[in-house]
Amino acid sequence: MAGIPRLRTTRELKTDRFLRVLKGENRPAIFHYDPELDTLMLLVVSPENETVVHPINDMIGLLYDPGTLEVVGVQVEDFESSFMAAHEPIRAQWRLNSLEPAPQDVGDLIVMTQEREPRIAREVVRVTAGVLAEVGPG
Amino acid sequence: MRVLFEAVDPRGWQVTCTEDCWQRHVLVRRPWMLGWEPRVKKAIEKPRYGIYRSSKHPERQIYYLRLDRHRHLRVVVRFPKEGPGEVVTAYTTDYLTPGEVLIWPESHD
Repeated sequence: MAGIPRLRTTRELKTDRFLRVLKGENRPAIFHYDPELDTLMLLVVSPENETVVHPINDMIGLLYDPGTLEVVGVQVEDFESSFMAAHEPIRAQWRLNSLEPAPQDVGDLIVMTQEREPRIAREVVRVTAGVLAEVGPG
Repeated sequence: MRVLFEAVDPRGWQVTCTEDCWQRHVLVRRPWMLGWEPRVKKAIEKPRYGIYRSSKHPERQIYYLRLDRHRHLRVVVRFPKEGPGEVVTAYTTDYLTPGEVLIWPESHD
């Protein structure tokens, strides 16, 4: 049996734009969490654009534009159940009980969430960059 | 709940895809997959590389369809203890997710 062929190598993908999220130069356009599937998705482009998943381990998949091969996001499976548990800086930002001062109304909550999203995104990208460095360009 | 399509995999197992699931788990994050239902159905009926089981979620099984030179379609189906399976997500990928275990051999036309 041949098995599933790998159709792209990590080496073929361009990560510069995606990694600029780390420097705060690029903010995710889409920050979406699906609680039923426990999956987080970050995108620096509109979700109207097709993206292909390039798995780099059993939780993290890079999302890239199939035309340019530019990495434009990341998808994290088992986000709350596994990924976040292993990364304290993300858990600290994710938990509502760490909100200070405590939100007084929905407006406060929205503002606080908007402040936290880019921080969580940066941490997720930082972890992803670390995994990429570990797995290499294969 | 409106059913978008029903499919039967090579083992004879029934799978449904509801409009609600398609909207909430697929189109909300990948609106460009509007109209991809026939391809998802085909992946379930003729999984080119066989059927896989998720290592972390044994109730989820994965079907792959080769789309072209650089893309596979990955379809995840959740099988409850009773009743048909339900499509829970689908997207394009260039390789399988590490840890998945082959549980049914590949299909040929």
